[in-house]
Amino acid sequence: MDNELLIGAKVDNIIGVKVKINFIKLQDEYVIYDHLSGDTHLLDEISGELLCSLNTQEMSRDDLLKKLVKNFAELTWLDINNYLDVFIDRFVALDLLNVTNQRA
Amino acid sequence: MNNIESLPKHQLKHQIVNGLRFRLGCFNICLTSSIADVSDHIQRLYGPHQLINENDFIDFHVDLSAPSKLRRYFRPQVSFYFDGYVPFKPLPYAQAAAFFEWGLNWCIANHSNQYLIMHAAVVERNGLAFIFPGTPGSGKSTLCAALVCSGWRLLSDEMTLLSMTDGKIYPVPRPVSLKNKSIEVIQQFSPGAEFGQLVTGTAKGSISHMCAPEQSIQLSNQPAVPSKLIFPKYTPDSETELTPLSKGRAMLSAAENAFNYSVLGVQGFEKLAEMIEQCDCFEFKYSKLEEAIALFSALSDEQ
Repeated sequence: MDNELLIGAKVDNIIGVKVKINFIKLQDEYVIYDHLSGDTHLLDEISGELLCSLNTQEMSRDDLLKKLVKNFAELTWLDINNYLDVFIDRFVALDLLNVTNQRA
Repeated sequence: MNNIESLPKHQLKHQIVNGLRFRLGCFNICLTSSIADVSDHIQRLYGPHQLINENDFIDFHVDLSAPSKLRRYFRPQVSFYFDGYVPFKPLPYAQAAAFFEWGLNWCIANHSNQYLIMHAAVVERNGLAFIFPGTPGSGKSTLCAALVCSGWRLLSDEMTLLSMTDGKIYPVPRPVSLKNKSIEVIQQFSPGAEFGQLVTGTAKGSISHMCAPEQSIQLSNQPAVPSKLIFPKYTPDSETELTPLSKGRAMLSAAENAFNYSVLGVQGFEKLAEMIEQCDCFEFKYSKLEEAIALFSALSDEQ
């Protein structure tokens, strides 16, 4: 918000996968392998879909929100926002995602 | 080539002193020891294993002997040597036979990266491998021993070797290690089962090894296809309960149970994923061996 007031432009986050990962979908879950740490993680279907998309190409936070709204229409806007925040925080903490600011 | 049991006792003892070379599943072993308990252990529990030629490649050269002359007489101890290297602290002399088994577990787990090695018992029926990963106390070896005594083929009671090449499970049919109450449970369950020496006072309590069935040893060059991944939990007085487990969770638990998963990196991940895709995965709670065996036999007949 401060940035918007200062420079008069909206700031969006660009999110991308930081390291090489392998993933497999098993039933309605994803298991991913982090090449750098050697760690293996279990993800629910939504997180798995998001991470797979990000593994193909970087996306802005807005794009991720739109993707979630489109694919998971049964969730409310607030739920989706919260979900996305938790998703980003979790995988940034695991050093799997990279978040950079970009002016829209 | 002859089997170990073809050697008269005195000749076997002499050969172990000079290096007994034999086949153990997909490995060749050379065992050297002058300790009587070790030669007794080999004679009682390794009879059907095939002797190999002088010129055959040896995967593991192991030696069990006293760490010093003094330790033969004063508070006697035994050391385990692998290729001349001593990976462990010495143990009391009376634990020499069990030390051979533990040391060999370590050799295989740390030097066989052509396999993804899980800490799991594995048995086979109708060509299908049932894998039972488990932490100590989960009852995997007891369950494995009971299944083997009921006609299932033993591939291993301790380590599941998943080939990184063809994704099949390769056998290492060695004596089944039973601890504490499990020894009596299996002796009652199968009075004909042959056991080795009872070793008391180990870090794990009392240990005895049950002989692997001769047929399992004879089939030790035949791998099996992974079919079921079952996480057992022995719970006293519980009902027999087989609950489906999500494949994702099963994969995570199997990875945690693998000795060399981190060594194999992404190849280990891919091979494990391949195995999980072809397996049905379950959690299993039990207290009655007869019910467990009936359930798994029915499950293997369904295929």
